[in-house]
Amino acid sequence: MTDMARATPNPRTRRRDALVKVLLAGSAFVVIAVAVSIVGMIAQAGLRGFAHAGFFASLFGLRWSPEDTPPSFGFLPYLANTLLSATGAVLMGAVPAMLAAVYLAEMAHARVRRSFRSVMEVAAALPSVVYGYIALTYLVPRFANPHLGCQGLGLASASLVLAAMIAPTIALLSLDVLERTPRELRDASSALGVSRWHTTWHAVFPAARRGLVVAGFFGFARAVGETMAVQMVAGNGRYAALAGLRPAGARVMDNVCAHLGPLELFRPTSTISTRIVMDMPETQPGTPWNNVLFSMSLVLLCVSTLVVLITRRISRTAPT
Amino acid sequence: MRRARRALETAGEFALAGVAAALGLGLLALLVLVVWQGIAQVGTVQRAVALLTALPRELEPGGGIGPQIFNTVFLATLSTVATVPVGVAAAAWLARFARQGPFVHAVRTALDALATLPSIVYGLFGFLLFVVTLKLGYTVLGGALVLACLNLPLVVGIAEESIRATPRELEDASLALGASPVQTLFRVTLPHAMPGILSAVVLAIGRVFAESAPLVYTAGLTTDPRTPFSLSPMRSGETLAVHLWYLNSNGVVPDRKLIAAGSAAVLVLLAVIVNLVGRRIARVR
Repeated sequence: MTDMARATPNPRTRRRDALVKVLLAGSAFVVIAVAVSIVGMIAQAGLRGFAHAGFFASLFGLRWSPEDTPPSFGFLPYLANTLLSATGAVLMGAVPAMLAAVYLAEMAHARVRRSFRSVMEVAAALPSVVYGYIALTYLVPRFANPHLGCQGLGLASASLVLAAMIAPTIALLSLDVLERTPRELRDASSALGVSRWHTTWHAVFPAARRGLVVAGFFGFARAVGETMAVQMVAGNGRYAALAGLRPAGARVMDNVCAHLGPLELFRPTSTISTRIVMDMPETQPGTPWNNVLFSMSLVLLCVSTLVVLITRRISRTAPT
Repeated sequence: MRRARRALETAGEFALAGVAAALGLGLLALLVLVVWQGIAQVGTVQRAVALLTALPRELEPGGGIGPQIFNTVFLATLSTVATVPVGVAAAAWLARFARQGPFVHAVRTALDALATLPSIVYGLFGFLLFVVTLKLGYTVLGGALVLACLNLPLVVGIAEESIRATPRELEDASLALGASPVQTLFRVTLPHAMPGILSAVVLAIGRVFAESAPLVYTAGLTTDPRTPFSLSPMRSGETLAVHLWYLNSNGVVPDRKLIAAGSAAVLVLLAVIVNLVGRRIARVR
């Protein structure tokens, strides 16, 4: 900012300017300090957990029984549940949200689009616990099947809540992406005499595709990190929803409420974040169990960072 | 042939319209359902007033969410007071004074990192820092500072954007009149960027209303019934969103259905109000 740094004659003003600039730069430094201390403190406690429980034994272990002697801290089933529920949320929430955005940006009346935006803005700002509450009150009872001993809690409910939660954000992001595509693209396409439908899918959509993928990844990252809403409907069991991830000798469940191939949909289960929230009050700070909870949050942090790095890579190579 | 394609395309547009309608009307229906159920279950005006002002009870019916509403506003105030000066100052520096270099790169990386951290990680950080290391216990201050960190990337991002949107000519005019760069920042640039900064503040407050995961192990799940409306930041204080979670996962009060319905309705109305206020500010611009 060379033009802003022109010398001012009054030495007192100049001194004050210098002081204020130092304060402003200091605030920027606070941002760095905050980020470093968050990542640093989580990593420190998390690495201590890995040092105690063993990196592979915990990250790829199938058995979670921290109160046994010797304890087992395998949390792969929870990691799998986190990724599965987020994937389900993207399929059930992000895809419809993007299709809706395509319709509203390309084919709907501007007034309809504005109303849709308003609803999505409020829905996106809603506390996640409200989504959890709605699901727990109106959705979960419908999934329950008392004859089979099913309460309706489980991976499917968690995934549905996440889908509803991320859909408004993704719809808004997708609308932004579609509205940013150049007007000329549509004009050129319709000048060739093709229909609106054809223009949408062959001119606008290819230009917006990367942006939409970025929006989808963003939704995935949010679903991976969500805690409280999932905790309310996942059931908090220690059961791997995916059949292959149950430890040898685990109690075999004979009554299956509903399943999708090897996936059990309505068995009380946990994700990484819900397990952390549930176990944190059970443990004393500094104990192995407590430290492993921080290892789990470190893994969570790495997963979401990875997703964001992938997103960045995609959006950086975007042609538009 | 062409007619068949035409029919298919119309059908496709209808299908997309159906998806859009299902999503839009579905979410709208959820919002209305929650508010309507809240009103219906609370029933009378007396009960509503009691719910909004009374202290919560653990075992017998008739309790309220007064302290939770107070804590929510209190925590939002503290958090905003912490986040806005730092955020706007950092944004002003990035937009007007910083020279490209490793330090700016580090600040941008830090902002990106903060924006991507799952909210539970913020909560665990707050727990480690305020509860374990500083041994302060669960405090409103701890919760507020954690949310201030959570809101930093949001505030810096929007503030920087609106500071950059200030026309260069205005600033040059100020500098030409002999004002120093810092005087120009405070007298010209920031007033011009004010609507943007205010909308960032509104969004940040909305997030304080909505967050729960970062607060459970920082601001805690309790409010001292002897001093429920205390202005001390060094006490534990449960916000309304956290209370709604607590009612549903651990609550044992017999009328918790009613209280949960009422709390959820209040939270939805808060989100609507925040949205309307933010829109109003955006229109001023």
